[in-house]
Amino acid sequence: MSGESFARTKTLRLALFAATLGILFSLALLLKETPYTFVGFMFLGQPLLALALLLLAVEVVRDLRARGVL
Amino acid sequence: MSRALAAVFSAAVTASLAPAAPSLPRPHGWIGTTDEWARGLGIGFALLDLLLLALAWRSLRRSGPSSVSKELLFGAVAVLPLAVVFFSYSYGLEASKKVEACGSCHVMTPWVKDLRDPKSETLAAVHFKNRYIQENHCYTCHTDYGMFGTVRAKWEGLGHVYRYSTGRYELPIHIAKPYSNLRCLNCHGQSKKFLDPAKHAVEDLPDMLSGKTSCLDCHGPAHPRREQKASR
Repeated sequence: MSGESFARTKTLRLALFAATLGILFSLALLLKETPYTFVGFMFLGQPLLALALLLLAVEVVRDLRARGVL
Repeated sequence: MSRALAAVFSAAVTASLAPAAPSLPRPHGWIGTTDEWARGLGIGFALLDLLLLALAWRSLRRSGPSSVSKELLFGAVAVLPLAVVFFSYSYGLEASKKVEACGSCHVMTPWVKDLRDPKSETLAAVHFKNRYIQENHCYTCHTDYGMFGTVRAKWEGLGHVYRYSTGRYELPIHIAKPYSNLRCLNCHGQSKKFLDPAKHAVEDLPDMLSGKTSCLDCHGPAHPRREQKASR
């Protein structure tokens, strides 16, 4: 695996990890609503999901640039 | 695979629709409340997303960033989380208004206990036992009306969680600012009983509306007094 490919895989894995954590925070709220699960979803779950989306977007842009589309 | 997913989804929706403690038979054709559906759909989408995330992880590990892994990633990171967040918000915001949510901090136990006590004659208990307020009793009386009232209540609620979690509060706890008459008058303001001059003299109305005279001066106490709570 080349250095660039490794970096891309790493970014995507990070996105996957952040999304998994974000979904778990959401699931905790949906399974049992308490003030803690609500705050966890608001202040940790959502930012993690946003971070995952951002990392994916970065990777998409990088991919398009590598193909000369952008 | 699609059958397994359908089974998981259906189980999640069914589980969330099951009433916790049915006290009255449901009307014919009952399909659950919006909250229950939001919860069930949220759980279903979250489980589906976790499955897609696992598949994307496996695909990425085996073949690197291939077209299959990219498609899986797009679905798991960009599409399904939107549905999960939407349903989590729908369910979470409504569930946070319930008495159980307010009573989940142990410092609130005496208030909630009094609220549910059929023998209690405090204003809160009278409203609760007679169902003058149908649901979300704490929230209804402790929230200003209008859009900003709701936003402020949520914001203050987060402050309560922070102070409770970090222990930054002093006992006995008390209401942060004087109780606004407008919260009472939102329901009672146009009632015949309130407008009856024999009950509320016309010359007293400006003071009531401005908050100079509190409804609780005559109709209180809203909750058990400090010494009553200590003896419970």
